[in-house]
Amino acid sequence: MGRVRRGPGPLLLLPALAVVALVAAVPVGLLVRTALFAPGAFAELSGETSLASFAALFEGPFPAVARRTVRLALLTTAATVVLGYPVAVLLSRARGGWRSFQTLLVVSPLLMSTVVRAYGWTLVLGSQGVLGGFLENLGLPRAGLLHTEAAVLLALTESFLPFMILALAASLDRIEPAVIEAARSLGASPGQTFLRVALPLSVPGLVAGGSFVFVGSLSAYATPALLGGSEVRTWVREIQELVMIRFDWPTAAAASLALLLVAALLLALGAALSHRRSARAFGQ
Amino acid sequence: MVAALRVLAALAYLVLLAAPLAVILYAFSPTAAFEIPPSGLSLRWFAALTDQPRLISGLVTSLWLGFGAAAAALACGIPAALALSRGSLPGRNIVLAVLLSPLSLPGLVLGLGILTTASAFAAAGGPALVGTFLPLGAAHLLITIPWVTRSVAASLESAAPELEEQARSLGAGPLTTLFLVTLPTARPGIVAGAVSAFVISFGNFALSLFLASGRTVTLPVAIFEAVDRYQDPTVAAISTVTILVTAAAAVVADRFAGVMQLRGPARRRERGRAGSAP
Repeated sequence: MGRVRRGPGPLLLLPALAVVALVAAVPVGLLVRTALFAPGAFAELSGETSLASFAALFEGPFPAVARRTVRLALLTTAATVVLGYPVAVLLSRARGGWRSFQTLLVVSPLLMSTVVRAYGWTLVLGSQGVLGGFLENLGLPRAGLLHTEAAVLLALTESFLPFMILALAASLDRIEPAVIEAARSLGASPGQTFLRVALPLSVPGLVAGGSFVFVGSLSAYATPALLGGSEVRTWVREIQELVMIRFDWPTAAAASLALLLVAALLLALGAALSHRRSARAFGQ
Repeated sequence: MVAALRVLAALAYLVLLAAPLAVILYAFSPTAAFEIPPSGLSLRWFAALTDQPRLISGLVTSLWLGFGAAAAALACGIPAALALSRGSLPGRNIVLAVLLSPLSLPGLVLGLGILTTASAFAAAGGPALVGTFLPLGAAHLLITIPWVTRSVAASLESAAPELEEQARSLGAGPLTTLFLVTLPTARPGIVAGAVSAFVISFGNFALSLFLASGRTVTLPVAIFEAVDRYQDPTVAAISTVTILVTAAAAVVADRFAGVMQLRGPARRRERGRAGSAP
């Protein structure tokens, strides 16, 4: 214990840290500078600096779009918990080849681009698709679900479900089987054991998975664009339009920074919550 | 309660697999219509892809970008993983958080920032970088380094450091130890990290959207633009090709590292702890 082994040196970190500095820190810094110029279509990135582009976010359709995006992200997070928890429980109980097979099923969608999976949902939910045919078989009019918030929610849930399942399964795996056996042998029912022992111990997994899913669905572009059409506008689609169609870079930069702020606040909240809950679970 | 769990889990698997299965089914459809059940099987939409220069050029771009990003991510990520997992590093957790931070930045926002940086560079008298491979490749490198670092560090941490100490005490130099002992024991993590880096880069869309134009249009961007243009299985066919490419990458990972190595360290820790329990 006493001897501190000399590491290979912080120099080894240099390439990776240089990339983060040049390709993440500098760009975010330049976004801050861009946001300080006067907003407007074909805005010149020069002249007086002000906070007018941030004020522009509180006008027009943007507040409603932001609220919808946050609502969709919260609903997506909740849906991935409801659908992901049972899969994670069964996964963490499975052994051997059966476990490998289930893991493969859960992971396999991650091998596909989000664009491909969103395109798949347009096939399933479109009026020519599986759902349309199903409705027709029931004697109902052939209708599609495309370009609704429900369609966006379903596809977002699918695209983030694997991450939630993996995070939950990892935290369920870390629970000592002896802890569960102790609760059962002391007379707790399976339901009580789950609610009082397994669920609190899986809070770190819930928070890790939940933060990832929330931030990811907040910033998803392809899925809302392909399934929401022009009807379901979201935060990042608004940024894209500000850049590519209205050429209002200061407002786009301000909207980007606001999104970063919301994501950072939520991640910090998650970290604090996880710390407090796990401290309580271990009786500290 | 177990029955309820199974029903919800079955529903979850249905949600997970519906969209990919629909894409694959439609790609082999003999007609332009999406029929369930299909009236037959046909490869005509795959053959027709040769007449789609934009999609083919996107595929080539994405393949090169994926290989390049994976190679560069190994070059940056393996040294970083060594620094993180061998010896004492002051502020280790902060360094790790900084290295992983690109994963929590929204891709489109990052893309806008990188585009802003590239145009600021040109405005300051530097070479014109907008629309070239440099900003796009740098962006892909940024988001693939965390996957390599994490996976290699996990492999290094689960390997026994005594092996390296023994090699050193038997007279091997630091570089010999690195190449003959340390890196071979980290091979599962290196392979898994490289394959994840390739898959992440190959499928990325949001980050590439602002940075891809002309020759640098990646396949996901080309597919996104093509969805509304084709009312036949052309898009399904090229999507199925991407599924085959990433499946091949996964097979490579399995062949050289064992796909379950992705979950390896957690399982090993569990066994280790269970073994040490009284």
